[in-house]
Amino acid sequence: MVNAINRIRRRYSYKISGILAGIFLLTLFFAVLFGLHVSRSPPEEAAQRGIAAITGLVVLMLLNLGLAGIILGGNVALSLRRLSNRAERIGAGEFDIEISTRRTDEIADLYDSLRVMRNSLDTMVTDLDETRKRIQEERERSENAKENAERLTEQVQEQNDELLKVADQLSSAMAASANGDLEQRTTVSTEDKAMQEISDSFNEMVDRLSIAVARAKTSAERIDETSTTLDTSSQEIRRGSNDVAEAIQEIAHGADEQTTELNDAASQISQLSASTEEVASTTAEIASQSAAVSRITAEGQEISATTADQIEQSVERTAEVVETVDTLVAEAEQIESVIATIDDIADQINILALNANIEAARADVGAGGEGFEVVANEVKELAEEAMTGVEDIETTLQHVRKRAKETAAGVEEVDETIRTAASDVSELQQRLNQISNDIDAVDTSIQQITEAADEQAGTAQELSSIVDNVSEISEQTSNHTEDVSATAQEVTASTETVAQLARELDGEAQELAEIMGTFHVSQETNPEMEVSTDD
Amino acid sequence: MTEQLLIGQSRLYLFTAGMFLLGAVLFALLALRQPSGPRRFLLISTIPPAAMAITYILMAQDVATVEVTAAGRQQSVMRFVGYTVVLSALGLVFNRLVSPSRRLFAVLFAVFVFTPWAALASWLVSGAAESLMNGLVFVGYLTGCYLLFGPTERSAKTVSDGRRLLFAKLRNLFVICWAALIIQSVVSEQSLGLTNFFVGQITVGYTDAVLAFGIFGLVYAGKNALTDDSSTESRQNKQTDNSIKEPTELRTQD
Repeated sequence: MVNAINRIRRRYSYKISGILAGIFLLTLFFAVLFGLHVSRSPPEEAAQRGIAAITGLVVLMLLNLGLAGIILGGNVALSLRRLSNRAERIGAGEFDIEISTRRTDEIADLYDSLRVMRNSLDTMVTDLDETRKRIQEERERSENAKENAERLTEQVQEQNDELLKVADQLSSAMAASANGDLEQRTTVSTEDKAMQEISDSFNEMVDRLSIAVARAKTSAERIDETSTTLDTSSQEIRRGSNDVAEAIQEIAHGADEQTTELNDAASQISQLSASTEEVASTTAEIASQSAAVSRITAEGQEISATTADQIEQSVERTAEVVETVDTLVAEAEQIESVIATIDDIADQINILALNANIEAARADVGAGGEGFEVVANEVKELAEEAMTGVEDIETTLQHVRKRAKETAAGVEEVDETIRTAASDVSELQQRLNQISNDIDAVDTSIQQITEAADEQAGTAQELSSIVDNVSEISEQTSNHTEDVSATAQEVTASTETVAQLARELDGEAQELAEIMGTFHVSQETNPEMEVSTDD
Repeated sequence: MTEQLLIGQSRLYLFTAGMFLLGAVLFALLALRQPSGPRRFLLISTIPPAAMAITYILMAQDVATVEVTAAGRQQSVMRFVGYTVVLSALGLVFNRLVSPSRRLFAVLFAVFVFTPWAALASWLVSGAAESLMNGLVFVGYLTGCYLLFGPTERSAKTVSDGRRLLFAKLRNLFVICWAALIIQSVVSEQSLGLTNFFVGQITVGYTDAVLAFGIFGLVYAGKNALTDDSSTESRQNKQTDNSIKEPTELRTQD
């Protein structure tokens, strides 16, 4: 502690010296700076600058002294010296000195540490004093105890001599009792209460032992009889156990066979379950295909209905065409009548032209006969051209009529064909409807088959689970049966052991009776007398 | 007048600004390398040199000048803005260190801000008003000292010893520098006229440097105490503790 304080004191001394030197050098620097400032001033400002420089230096010195005061204000060196003195006084045994400071820095921590150390040392010294006092007291107590022990040793020696005499008497009586003479009793008279109680207890013990020996003799006889009976019974139990073991062996064999058959049944049920699942899978495929056929049939029905509608429209259009052709033929006939009329007119014009020529010939005599003849010729030519055109028209009309009749005949044939097709389509629709109904029925049947197959598969699984459980139970039964068989064999062995023990017990009982016979018991001792065990 | 000085006014301002700027940059780099706990304190402590650097740059540019009655010269208001920022940062450090009550912190902050502007006011007025403002400056200083050594010190007893010691060092530094600044304000050419511009600026710049660099230096030296944010048992409780300190602990406190 003192070394640490000295180390801190040295460190603080160096630190303070350095700070003071730094402050001095800094102030010197400012003094030089201000001196230069004054020296370079004009004469009229020299006094003012001097005052300013001095004032500035004073302020800076005050500031630096204040800073030094902060550092030195705590008076570290003095505090450490005081602390060192107190440490030395504590080392000299002065534990009641005051250790406190107003500082709040590291020095205060040192004060705290020194105070804690002082308190610890004080506590340790106090504890040592108390311990030394306790040791002194213990030493005095041990010396007193030693004196008491020596006195007690003398008393014990006297009592020991007396006890030896009593012990001799007790030993003689006990030796007689050990040799079977239970009629011996002690007649000790001593001041030692414990030995007197031993003597009394010995006499009481021998009394009770006499009673116990008498009762043991009786019990040995009874045990002899009981062991004989037990031997007989154990032989009967052994025979019964053998029978039971054989029966259990048969049961175990049957349980094994049952387990084997149940395993076979479980295997077959598993196969059945697999087949049922396969049927269900196949039925699902059929249902899928049936649905496809049903969908195709529905499409066929829609197509046939569309075709029937189109045929219906074709029949109507064909009838309209036949009607148009008939109208065309009728109109052609009307044209023919018109043409006949035109032909008559042309004939009449021709006749008229002929008459005009005739009249022109008559009129050759006159001046106007030539002109009239020219007109007549022109009319005649015109009539002839009209007749030629009418003939052409008539020829054309004949062709038209022929074509119209042929067309009407063709159309009628087409109409007949279409009607036949419409009839076929109607029949096809009926057939498709019938097919659709049949497919629906097939779907229903397939659904029923699928449900039945699923139900059958579930039932097969449940059945398989049940058979597995039964098989497991059968195996457990077989195992238990084997355990029972083993137990029966153990019972048989135990019975033999019991019989052996009964025989040994019989021998022991006889030996006990012989041993009991070595004890001499007073004839007045009643074997039925109660033996107290309170002691 | 300027050419008769050792160095011109603007150059003197810029030289001082450069000194603060260099310090602020170095301090910021140093602060960023610290763990998150001390880093916040150190970054706050970087504000005073940075603020003073900006202040002197603006003063060199004659920003926001007013005419001072005694000297008859133009004086930049930016110096007092800079002091306001410096004192606000210091108040923030005090608040984070010892966690005084909000009311106490508000009063302390108001006193910190009041005194520099009262000093400026004393430069702008004359006669009785000037004496009154100077008196108010001293009253503000004494009030601040009372608050720092009284209620705030009591609050410091509830925090760890390291924080309490750091608070005591910062407080003592601030009280000395604060007093120096007030004295310089009174004896300056703007008030009593005992100093001139060159001497006044040298002494004020030195005081500003001691304050700004001292704040960061003390916080950096006591950064180990800032890692423990929880308040520890008071010194009074510690004095009743009979447990013996470990040697390593004693060494670290040395």
